Amino acid sequence: MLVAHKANLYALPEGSSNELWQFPPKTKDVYPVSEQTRDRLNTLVDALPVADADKTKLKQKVADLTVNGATITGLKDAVDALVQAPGGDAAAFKKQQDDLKTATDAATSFEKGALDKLQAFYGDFGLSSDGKTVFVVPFRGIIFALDVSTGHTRWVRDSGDQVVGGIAVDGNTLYFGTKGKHVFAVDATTGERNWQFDAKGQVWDTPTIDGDTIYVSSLDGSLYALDKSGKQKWVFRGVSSGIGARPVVAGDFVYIGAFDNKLYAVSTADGTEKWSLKGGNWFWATPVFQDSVLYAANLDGKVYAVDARTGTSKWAHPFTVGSAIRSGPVIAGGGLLVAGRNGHIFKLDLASGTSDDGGTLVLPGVEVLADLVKTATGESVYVVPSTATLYEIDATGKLGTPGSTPLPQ
Amino acid sequence: MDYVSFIFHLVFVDPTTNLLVMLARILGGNYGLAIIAFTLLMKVITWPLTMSQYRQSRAMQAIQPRMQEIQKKYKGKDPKKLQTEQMALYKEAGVNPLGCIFPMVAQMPIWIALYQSIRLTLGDAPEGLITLSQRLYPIPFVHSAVPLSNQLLFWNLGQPDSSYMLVFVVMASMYVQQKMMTPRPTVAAITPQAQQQQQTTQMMSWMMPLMFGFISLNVPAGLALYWAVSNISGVVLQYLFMGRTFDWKYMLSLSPAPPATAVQSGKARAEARPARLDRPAGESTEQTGDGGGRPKRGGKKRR
Repeated sequence: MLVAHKANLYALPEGSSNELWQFPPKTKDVYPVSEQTRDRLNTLVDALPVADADKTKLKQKVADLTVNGATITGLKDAVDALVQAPGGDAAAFKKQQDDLKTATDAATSFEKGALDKLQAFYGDFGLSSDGKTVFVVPFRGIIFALDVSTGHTRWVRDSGDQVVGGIAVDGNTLYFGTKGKHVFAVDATTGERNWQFDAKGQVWDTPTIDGDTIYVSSLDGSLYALDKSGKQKWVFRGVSSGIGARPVVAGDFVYIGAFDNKLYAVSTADGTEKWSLKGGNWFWATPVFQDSVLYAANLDGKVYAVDARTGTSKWAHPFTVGSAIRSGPVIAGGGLLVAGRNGHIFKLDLASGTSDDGGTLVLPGVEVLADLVKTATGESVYVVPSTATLYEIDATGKLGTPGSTPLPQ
Repeated sequence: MDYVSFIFHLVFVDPTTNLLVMLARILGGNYGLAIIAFTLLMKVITWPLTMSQYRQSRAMQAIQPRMQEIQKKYKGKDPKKLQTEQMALYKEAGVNPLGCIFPMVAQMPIWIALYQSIRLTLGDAPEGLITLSQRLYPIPFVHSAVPLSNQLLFWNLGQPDSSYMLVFVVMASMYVQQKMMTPRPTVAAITPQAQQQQQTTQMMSWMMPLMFGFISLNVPAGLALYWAVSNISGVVLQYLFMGRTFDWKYMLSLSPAPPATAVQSGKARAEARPARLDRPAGESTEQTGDGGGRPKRGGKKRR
């Protein structure tokens, strides 16, 4: 399980808050270059007209190569010390040596630079279908494919734009939107761009994939439905402001919260509006859908429950948290867990929208903006507030004192 | 401290932020145009202060000959008498020695509020927008205007001006404005103190543009746009309302202190009186080469 705090990622084993690894690494001198870089350098090594023993030694140097430190010089010195096999073109051999050293410098410099300027992680993480690779993208817009077990980089690419949302994975393709008003489809194995779609406004949400359709919204108030080749199926422009929340698809509708204070239900077939619900401020948190009910939190500090088919309220009145809600709520332990910006956590009864005694806890002196993260068992919820502390809340009964672990910076 | 911050936000930052967002909505979502409209609006609101600043500035200039005479008479001999005479002259002329500074100080909360509003409104990360959502008044017209475009021509108004064009405009326009505020001294500086005062005045006309230019390099371009528009509109208004008696040649000159042109006569010094800046342009006080300001034609003298 991955949690983010500002520009740091923490991999936690299920049921424990002891981290497996942290990204970016604390010490870059021991952090290996990406697998893709090692493959590229090994290809250049294979092409060198030198003895097999020398190639083996050189490949060991490549295997030990880190993004910073003495291993870079060590590899380049080893390249310089190579002796060409008899009968070859000396000038061509010299060029091959220079190419290998240049490639080493370029790759290590780029990868170290990428780690140095991550900026914050705001969006969702994407997990490969085999569960071995996690795809993350910080605000700086550099995409990292990380080995889930070690946190080492498989490949790294600069999208060229800042990214607020996260990455959606479908098969061998990654989808994400950028502040540069693009939606990109990227090969999950290589990081190569397959296509790009130009939206009318900045894209701040994580795309949602349902069947053969990609739903993605933009800050100009458009909700796009794209096919998997990047072609637009339809666009919904009924929102009078921006959309920053991730779309939720259920049945025949896609649900989106918007900055015009409304929650919309839009037909997946043709992009027509079915209903809308007005709140007191922006709907920015991603809504939760269960049993034909949509639970949506609003920056007005209230939680709304509506019939997903009709848009009518399910509760007698919205539940008031008391501070703005940006953090996406989750359903866990049979209730709806929602966190106010002021660190007040509530467990609500799904049917009535009320919080019983013991259904509240306060994380003092914190600001909660990141989505709540449900553990795989569905019985606990992680909260990562502004302070570098990970809270684990047992959601099975009354909300007791949460476990807390400081996150190393 | 939190209490002070809360009050400041309530009184200055929140109204400024909402006004800017509202103006942007009215002006097609263009935040740059909103800043320009906001600046002009502020210019109108603070016009009485600005007028007062102009009046004080010109009046100070007009009493300089008499001030120098007093300094020459008492400086180093009777400091107490010097101070008494100076204050009497200020009182007679209706001049507050700090009157020129007050309008600028009075505008500082607006600058600070605008700086915070621009950072708040054009923040390009989610945290900023969340804060903004809590600062906007619950008016649908305002609420649905966000997010705003931070582009005006090639400037990102939320970031410092990397083209330096706005920075240059701020400096140049402020230099011109400073020069207009301090008309060319036309009398010889008859005491070392007066010479020093003239040099200080001249230095200020350089220091202020340099200082604001440096600040403009480090703050969002939206604030630099505010200063640029404010200065340019100030120059235009000053030119229109204060009478067209500016010495453009002097204004564009690079000399730190102009040479003395004449020795002030006793009669001229005696005639020197604070200029009446609310007088119609045709009756404006004209600085002459022989010393103190005197009415061009038929101006009623204030005694």
